[in-house]
Amino acid sequence: MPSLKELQTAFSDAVYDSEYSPLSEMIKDRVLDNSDRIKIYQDNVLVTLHNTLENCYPSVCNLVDEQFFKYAVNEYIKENKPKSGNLDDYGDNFAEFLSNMKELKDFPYIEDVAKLEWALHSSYFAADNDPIDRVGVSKIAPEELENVKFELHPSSNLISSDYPINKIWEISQEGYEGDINFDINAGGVDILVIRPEYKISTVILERGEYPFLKSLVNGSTLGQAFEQACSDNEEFDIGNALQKFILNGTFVRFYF
Amino acid sequence: MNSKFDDKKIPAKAGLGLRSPHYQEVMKDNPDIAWFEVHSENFFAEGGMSVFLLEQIREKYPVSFHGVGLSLGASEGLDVKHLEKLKKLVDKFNPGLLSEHISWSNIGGNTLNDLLPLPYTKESLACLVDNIKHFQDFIGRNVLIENPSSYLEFNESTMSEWEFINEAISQSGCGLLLDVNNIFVSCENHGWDSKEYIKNIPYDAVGEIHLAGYEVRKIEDKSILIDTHGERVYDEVWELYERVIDYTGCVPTLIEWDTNVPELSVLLDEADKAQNMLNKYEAKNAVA
Repeated sequence: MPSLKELQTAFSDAVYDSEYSPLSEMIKDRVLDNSDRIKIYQDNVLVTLHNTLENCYPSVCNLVDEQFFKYAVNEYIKENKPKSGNLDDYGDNFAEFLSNMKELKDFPYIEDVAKLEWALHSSYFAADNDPIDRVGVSKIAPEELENVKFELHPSSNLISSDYPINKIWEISQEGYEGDINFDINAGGVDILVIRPEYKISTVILERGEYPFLKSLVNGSTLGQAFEQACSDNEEFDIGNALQKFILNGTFVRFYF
Repeated sequence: MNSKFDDKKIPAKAGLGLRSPHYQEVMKDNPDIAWFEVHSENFFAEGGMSVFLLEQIREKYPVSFHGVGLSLGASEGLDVKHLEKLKKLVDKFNPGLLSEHISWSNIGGNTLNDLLPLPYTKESLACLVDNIKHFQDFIGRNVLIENPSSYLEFNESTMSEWEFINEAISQSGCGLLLDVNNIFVSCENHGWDSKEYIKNIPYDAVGEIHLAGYEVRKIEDKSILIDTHGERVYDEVWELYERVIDYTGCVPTLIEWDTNVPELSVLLDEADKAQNMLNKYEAKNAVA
């Protein structure tokens, strides 16, 4: 008699690895074939995972076409079984998985579009936060400014791509009616995804802003972040940047 | 518990499963319905729109939380991270009822995101009871467990589903969420006698009833009922429901619809039907 653990392991092997025999032997033989009974559960689980990833990555699905997306998801599931009873957690490393698919090696922008879609997804579920204390910021002594640090909103995600993924993402949206041609060599883009209140926004960053924000995320001081920004853009205007990221809700707290 | 929400008990009336296509409409139109039930996992987010919407809805209606991912039948015990998220949610929203399933989904560190059947053995009973106790202790309140629907039976089962449920409830002290559609689906699929099933339910423990529609799936020349929650409640299930409330009296009764979710008006219509049956029961007993 199998233990509960052995039975549950056999069930998992049947669903995820199509190894039906061990489970089949544990099932009462009645009317319907045991393999048909097992397949109902296998299909339920796999369809749920397919739907989950299709809802999370609609642009990737449109870009690679549905047939290939199905194949990619099947391969992904083999290597990445869900670890949680909350489906919103599933698919976090799908971008990385796609970047390793040999069939997609001529479409390097797909990985970045997937990263953008995961950023949008996780931004939706992130914690809320009160806006920054603007009065407090305005009172920081000028000589202290270079030592101040900024915390970014929990919903913020930074993406840097060598391809125009904002354009690619836009034209791959359901119901898009404009010109669907794009030039993958039209230049890259840096994007900040953020949800300061309830609406998610994608902010196209100007030169220098990506390394600026990235170093602040990593705990650098404003002085250090400014240096990073300048190495990307010599004319980086820190005053403008501060105002922009305070006003749009990116910065939620300052500290020393 | 420091919830800002008062104790809105779930009334012994018809309620609706609230799903994302209807959030906005419910917010705007405040439909005439006694209570709503949501899937706990849909509100595990730390913030954002879904949590905000639930706060608004919870202000206006009694809300019940129904979990689909805790895996109470897991041989390896409960996923503590999942439990912690549930506790946070319960503490915040103070739901009128809290329920999970008699099923499992976690094994070997992986999850099969479905409500999978347990063998009805002493070992799985002990495991389920331990997990329910752990769950109730952790959350600090009593829960309801739902009878499953299933598409297979295990050779090693040594007791009937109702015997298993009776034992689980008496040993753990939890309540029962009686899914009448699940009884119908499982009885049809396994050749069990639904009359015998409903005679053997621990009615004192029933805290809620679920109703939903199934799908008849043809496999070659045979067929099996699939618990899709994608149709209106079938007549046979309404009949069974009517017989069940003769035993339970008026109990909070939920219409569930999860696939091909129709207009809210269709759901309200189904809820009306359930409410009429509850009213009929009350009228009958008032006369008697």
